[in-house]
Amino acid sequence: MSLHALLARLLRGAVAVSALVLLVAGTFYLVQHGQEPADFSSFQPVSPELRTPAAIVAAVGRGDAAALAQCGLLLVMVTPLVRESTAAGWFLRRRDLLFAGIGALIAGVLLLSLLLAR
Amino acid sequence: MTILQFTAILFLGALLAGFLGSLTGLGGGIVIVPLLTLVMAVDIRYAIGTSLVAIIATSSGSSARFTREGYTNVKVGMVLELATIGGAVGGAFLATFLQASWLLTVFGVVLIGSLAVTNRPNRLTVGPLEPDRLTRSLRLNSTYPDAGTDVPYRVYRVPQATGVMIGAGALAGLLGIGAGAFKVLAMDQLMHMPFKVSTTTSNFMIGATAAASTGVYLGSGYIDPAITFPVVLGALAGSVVGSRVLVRTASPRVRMVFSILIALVGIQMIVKGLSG
Repeated sequence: MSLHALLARLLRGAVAVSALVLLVAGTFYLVQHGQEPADFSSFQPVSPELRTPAAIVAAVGRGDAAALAQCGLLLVMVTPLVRESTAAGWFLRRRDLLFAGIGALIAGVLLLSLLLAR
Repeated sequence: MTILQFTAILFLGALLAGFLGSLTGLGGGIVIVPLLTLVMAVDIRYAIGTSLVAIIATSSGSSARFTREGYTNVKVGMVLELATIGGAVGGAFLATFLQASWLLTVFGVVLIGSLAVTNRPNRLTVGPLEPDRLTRSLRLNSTYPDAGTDVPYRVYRVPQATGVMIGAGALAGLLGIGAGAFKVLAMDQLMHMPFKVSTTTSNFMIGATAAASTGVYLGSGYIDPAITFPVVLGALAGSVVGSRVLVRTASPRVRMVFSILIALVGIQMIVKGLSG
């Protein structure tokens, strides 16, 4: 399969899955929190359990609707990381080590930026 | 206002923002941040975090189509992403130290600058074109489809474009925008890539650039699911509709009207930022 076709299929699937998770999680969130007052005019950082991938996954396990919605957003955020890793793998199979390395480097930076979030 | 009402208004607003962003060619971020700050009275720090996630979604959605059609130069995109993601991480760290009023003012200035770049009347000529060793060694020259045939093109001045990309990445990370106008400018004017290849490759890069800075915003508590989930869903739907309408109508007059409206929004953001 060509790189263009592979990335197009991957991106289409990732967007569809993220949108579906967000739709379900968002509905669940509105059922739990829909009647609370909305005021975002002054900045208050969101709670710590919504600020790192590990904490978000742990909160989803407890059935927290906000964490489930944040998990859907996390899927959106990791899509470019998955895309770069896939491109790196494609170049590696064709022994294009330079572009396999560039793809792996970009994926590594994206992964680190998410894992070091705190 | 309850969260439910807020979500419904945000979804409709983001739908419009995604539609306008796609129609004007400026991208969703440059409409989403003013929508949240000026219309919905949301603090700009939440707005930037929200916008970054929304533009990853819209960029991924439209990249799927453009990449399949064979316009995107994936290798050029990956090489330049090395520069944009570095700039984006730096820009995001800077944003966490700047006051909201400064962010509003800088956003307004960049918004008007993006409009000027996008609506420039003629292609500029920047110096003579010379064979580029880096382009050859990285094998960046490619082809794009046009009327059933593959048209070859050459790529020039990768090092100079890399410098512009660091700046574009920093603006993206600082303000929660795609900075596509500046990326296209570098690829079209400096690297002399065909315009359609420049715009689609820029779109391809926007997702990774935004993703590089979301870690900083996520960790700093700027990404609130109550604001972000309706905006992502609305912007995604709006950009799909906008890109289809754009293909059918593509009227310069429509673009000009929206561009003037966005310029007024930029002025309003500068005024709001300067007044504290």
